[in-house]
Amino acid sequence: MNDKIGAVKAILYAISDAAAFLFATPLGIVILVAVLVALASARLWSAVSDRRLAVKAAGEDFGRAAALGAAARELASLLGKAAAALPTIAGVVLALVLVLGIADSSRKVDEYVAGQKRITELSTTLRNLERRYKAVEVRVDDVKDGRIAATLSFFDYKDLKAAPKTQAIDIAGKELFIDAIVCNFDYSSIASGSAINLAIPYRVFSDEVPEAEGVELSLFDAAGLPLMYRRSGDNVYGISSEAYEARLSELMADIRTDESARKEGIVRSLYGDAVHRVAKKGESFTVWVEQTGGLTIKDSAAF
Amino acid sequence: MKFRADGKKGNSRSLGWFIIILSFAIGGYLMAGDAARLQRIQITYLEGLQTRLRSETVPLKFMVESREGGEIKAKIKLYDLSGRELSSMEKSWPGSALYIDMLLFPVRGDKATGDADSYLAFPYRVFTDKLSAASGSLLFDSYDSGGFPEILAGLSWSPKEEKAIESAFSAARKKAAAGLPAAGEVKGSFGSAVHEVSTLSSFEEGIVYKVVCRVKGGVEIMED
Repeated sequence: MNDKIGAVKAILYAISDAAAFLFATPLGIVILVAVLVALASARLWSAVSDRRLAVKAAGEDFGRAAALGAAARELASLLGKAAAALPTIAGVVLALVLVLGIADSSRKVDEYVAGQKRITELSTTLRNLERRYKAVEVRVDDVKDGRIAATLSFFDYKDLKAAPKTQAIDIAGKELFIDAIVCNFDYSSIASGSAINLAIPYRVFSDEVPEAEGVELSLFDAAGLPLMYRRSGDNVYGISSEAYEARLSELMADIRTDESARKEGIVRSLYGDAVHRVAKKGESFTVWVEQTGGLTIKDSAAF
Repeated sequence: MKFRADGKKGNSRSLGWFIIILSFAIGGYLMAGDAARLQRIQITYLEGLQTRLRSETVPLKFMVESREGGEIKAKIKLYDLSGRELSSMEKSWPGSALYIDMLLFPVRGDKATGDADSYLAFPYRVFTDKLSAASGSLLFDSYDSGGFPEILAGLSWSPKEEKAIESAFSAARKKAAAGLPAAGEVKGSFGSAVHEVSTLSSFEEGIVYKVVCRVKGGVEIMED
């Protein structure tokens, strides 16, 4: 059906473009007038030649005045025929105007449909780029004697009813650093929704305790998958939860092997990012994985 | 309505229908033109948003020169928004993994939630896996131009914006100079120390890497 409509449109647009060129562009009008003049000249030439042959056959002299007279009569005859055909010409012109109108409207409809498709694509892209995922929630329990006591919560999206897995830490310093491996995928993958940027928090340190002496985090399940990327069957759209977890395992393997990820051309950047903030007793904040790339810290609701 | 009794009723009705259809056709054509214009405005707006979300600034580039005797030696260069080089430093630090710490200051933040539309990124300090952040090398002096952070030069700021930037920068500088953490000085601000992960992806010696700052606050390291 679409092929048939496409074929009809192709013919319609061809006629419309030809008519628009001939009647609405200077070059088209010049060509049209030239063709009409050439046809009329040929007709006049033919009429004068026929007349000359007939006159010579009768043994009479065919002079310049006789030739002009023959041409004038033929021209008058042509104009008369053209006048008689005026209703037909008007009909053809009207038909061409209609074809032009229909073709133009059809193009506008096509452009509108294409525009709506583009808007949908852009909206999806923006939605995917603006998205952010919660990586860790941090609650500062106490800040005393140069030490920070905090509770970190990791969410298991596979079991939303389950209490988040928590880990309490106590570390010297004033500023808390949440260190994570960050994997930002190619923009096209993010925009299309076929990938999401990942962050795997793995260590906490402070402004006074270097990373090498920091506290290890344990947020992986038994299969080595980070809790925050596990999904229940209801939350995995389009693929089975088993397939999702298999794909996630592959991705984790890709991340662990930097070279293979780069070879696949899917990873834009792979690095560590320790986001940090001054610890204040009673405050809580969340570390987010931004789909435009990198990590951010936002205030959580006061508790 | 009265019609003449000479058979003209049908013609008048046809003419009426013709005028109605023609009016609808002309109206539809004009509306289609208007809809297309509105659609173009919407597409331009969405494309602008998409471009803005993907936009990036590169205030800092670095190159690891060597890792010897438990120290890492690197060259660090700072740039303004137009890509002009502002300063260059070469130094060794104890450790094997380099951390480039950036301060993110929110712009047009919502006071209620601390959320922000976009962030300004200031190179803050350099430390390593063995050297604590508090003992790291501060970078503020390298681009402080009379109180204005020169890494943000190359863009026409309004006097109000310029004053806000100077004020935030000055507060962060004062804290850092007193040995206190500068991150968190402005509501909604935080730090982001990007680094190599030795077991996963190390910075190759002799390769230039750039620190890419995203408008939404994320910071990335990419090969230049």
